[in-house]
Amino acid sequence: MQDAIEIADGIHRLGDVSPADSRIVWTGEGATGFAPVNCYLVVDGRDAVLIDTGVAAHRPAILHQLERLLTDRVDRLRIFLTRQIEFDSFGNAAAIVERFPVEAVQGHLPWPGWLHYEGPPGEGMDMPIVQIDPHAPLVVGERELDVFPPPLRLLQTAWVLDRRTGTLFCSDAFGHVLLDDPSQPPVVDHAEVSPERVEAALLAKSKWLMEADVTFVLEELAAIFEREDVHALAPGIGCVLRGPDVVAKHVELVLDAIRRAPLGAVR
Amino acid sequence: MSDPVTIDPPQLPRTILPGLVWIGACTRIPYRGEMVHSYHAVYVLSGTDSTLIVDTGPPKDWAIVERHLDQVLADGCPPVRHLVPTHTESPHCGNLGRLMRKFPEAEVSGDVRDLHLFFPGYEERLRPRGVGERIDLGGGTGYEFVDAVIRDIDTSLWGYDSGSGTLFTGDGFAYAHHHGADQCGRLTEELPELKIDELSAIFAEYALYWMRFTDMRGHIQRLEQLLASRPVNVIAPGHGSPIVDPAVTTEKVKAGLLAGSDII
Repeated sequence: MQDAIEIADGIHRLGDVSPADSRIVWTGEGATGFAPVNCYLVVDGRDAVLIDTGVAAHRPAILHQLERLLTDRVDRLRIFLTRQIEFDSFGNAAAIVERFPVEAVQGHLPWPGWLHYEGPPGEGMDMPIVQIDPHAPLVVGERELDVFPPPLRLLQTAWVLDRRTGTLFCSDAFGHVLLDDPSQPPVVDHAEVSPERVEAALLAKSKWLMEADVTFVLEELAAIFEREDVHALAPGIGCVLRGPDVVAKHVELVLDAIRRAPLGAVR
Repeated sequence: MSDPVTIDPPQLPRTILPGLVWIGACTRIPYRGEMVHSYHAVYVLSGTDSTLIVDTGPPKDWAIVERHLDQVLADGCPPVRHLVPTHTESPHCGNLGRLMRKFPEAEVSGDVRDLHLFFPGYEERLRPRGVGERIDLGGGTGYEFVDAVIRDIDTSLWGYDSGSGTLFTGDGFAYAHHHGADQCGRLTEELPELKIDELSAIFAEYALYWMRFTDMRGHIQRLEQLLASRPVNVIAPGHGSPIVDPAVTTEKVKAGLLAGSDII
């Protein structure tokens, strides 16, 4: 069971790893090794927000990590779901609501009864979802995190940017760096991956790029990284990429893979 | 107090053809200043030997799905042995764990990747199936896995029952309907005023973002090839009203697909 890792000031990576074999879609064809599945606790003062909640298979690890991090340091906890209809985003939300005093859950669809999907519907295991306001920041203590719909997405998705640390919570994008060994930390400052590996992970989630005009996605994605000072990419799947150089390198790898995607359909 | 979001359509469960029952809930969605409805449909397909359930509805619909299922089962049908989510997102497999517990003999078939992470403890009941494979339900009824022409998650597979000529399309043929005109639980052909092209756009916005960047003519061509490859009498979508006159209604759906990127 992995421990939580503080990847930047006040930002903790929670989660676990699973074998990246043919039973997992997200990692793409030909993946080997182990896939981290991540959620992130942002703590500022006594306020905390958990960005996504991980998959049910990793629940013991995530509850244990939260137990250790929250203790009496935090008296306000909320959950923010970047992709509400996908299980790696909301999969442990009900269990966390049941165990911890969660004040609110934010997502795209303000529908009651969404979170708890195991066993009979039960009191205390669910709560109404507060709809994400695309024009309002996610306020955690004294920091204001930007929330916006990313140009690279499949379903309704939010990316979250913490300008204080330069951490971009990029949900289901940038998940192409895996681990050789499950005991390795899922945070890397240097990662060599082949263009084919990046392409496989990209298309595992966004196969639609192969038949699309990708101009908008390319321009808008590049613009985010020209405009913002991103020091860490914190994906839902795959290793955290930490440091401006590694971020710049992997952004370019993904942009290249997007440029090549429509050519793949012709091949 | 009634649920402000989820509706139990009084017309459901509804038998579309012998051995094919439509169940599940309707969801209110605000869209451009009005309230429209969308289904999270579940279909119960029975042969002479066994019954198969297509999709599960999202967790919020469980009470309605279970009550409808109990009604269908009470009317008499072979044992439920197969659960088939058309893809692995919450509206289509959110109640899979509850259904596995309710039907302990049932196996989950389809592109089951990722499900071992979402429903740990049920790995031994997951049966990977690919395009062309068929589950025989007896008496000529069977569920054949076919390529999903319109898809989001990569685990998407459509299904086809050669016995009834029913095509199960998951996220394909998705369009909303209005509540004011008492449209819940109606077949598409019972709603001549339904503006399929406009009401398709909501899904392009919510679930099919990629449509705005894609020339849909390739998808339409593949859809036409699929419909020409076998007799289709019924189209059973996850979010749209079921279709019983595919020749006429599919033309409107194709127009909706072509218009989708302009409308959003």
